[in-house]
Amino acid sequence: MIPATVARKRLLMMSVLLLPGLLVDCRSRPTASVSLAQLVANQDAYVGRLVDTTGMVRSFIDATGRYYVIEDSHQNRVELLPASRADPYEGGRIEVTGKFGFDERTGRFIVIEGILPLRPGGTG
Amino acid sequence: MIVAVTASTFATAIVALLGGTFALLLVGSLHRARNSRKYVPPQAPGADGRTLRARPQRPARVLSRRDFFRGSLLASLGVFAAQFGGTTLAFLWPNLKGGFGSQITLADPPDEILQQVNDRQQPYYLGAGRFYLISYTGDGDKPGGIYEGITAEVPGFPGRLMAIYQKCAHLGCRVPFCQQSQWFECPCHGSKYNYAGEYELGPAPTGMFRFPVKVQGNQVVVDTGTVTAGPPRGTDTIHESPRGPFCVA
Repeated sequence: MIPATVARKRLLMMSVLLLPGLLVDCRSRPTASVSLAQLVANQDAYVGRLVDTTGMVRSFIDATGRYYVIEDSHQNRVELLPASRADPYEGGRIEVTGKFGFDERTGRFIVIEGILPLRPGGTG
Repeated sequence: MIVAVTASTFATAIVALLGGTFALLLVGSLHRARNSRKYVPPQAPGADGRTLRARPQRPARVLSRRDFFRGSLLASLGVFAAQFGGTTLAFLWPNLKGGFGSQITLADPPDEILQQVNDRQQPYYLGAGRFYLISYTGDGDKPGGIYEGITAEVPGFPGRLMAIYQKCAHLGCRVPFCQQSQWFECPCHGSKYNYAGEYELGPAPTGMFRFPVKVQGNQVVVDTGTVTAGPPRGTDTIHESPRGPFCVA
């Protein structure tokens, strides 16, 4: 039999340890591996989520300057932010992890957290 | 494949580990408490020397502080699980009726919609459905055409109803209709589409997406759950130049 004081201490300790974990988990959800087609078709469902996707980096120029997008073979596109992190990969295939968002003035975007070059014939 | 443990993954793993340990400790503790409380009914000797079977009496149950806390903890965990489960279900549950992603029945009858479109010289817009209805007069919806099966005829009107998804084919911004040019012009990156939502200018890879429209009786039904891809660049079934200056430079 465990003494009552020990059991109580254990419970208290577990509660103290569990609560911050729950709070952190409520703030964010795990990374979703999605195709660009899925992101484009259901953009609202992924806003605010950490996503992982693959595609080719392309750039466009508008009145505000040069911006970079990741696109697939069907030209489903998402802008990559910041541009400076996408710039070295222009024309190449990448796998990118980052927070997906949508802005009414600029459209869909991913704020890059991780970016990796892929082989030209790689998946995705 | 990027092998990176993000903060959320780490937190989820910690929570799962702690939750499992916590649940095990709790179950073990409850089990021990139950075993230690096994009740043995008292037996008294009768007049003939035999033991009489005493009527079992339930002991007065006193709720200890530990039991109270244990119960509270279980109840709060249950409430948390119910809230979390309920919210998740509500988030994931598909919008089956009336909203975007379902079949939307418009309040206005088809002839009134087309009359409005013709009189006001601009498409009929339904924000809840995220689409424009235009009066399509091109030949793209003829058998074998690119829009076959997605327009709806309205008796007495030369144009057919066509539903155009408001989303830009480039990066998904909402594309407003420009009254001056009679084209759709995206304010985000300047993509421009003609009155039928076909690509004309800018970075968009295709024309605007569409939804199938049906006229059932005196009602217009737009199926926003079925998105038809935009026509490829170079498609021009209505041959209409801009009728005035652009709204977006």
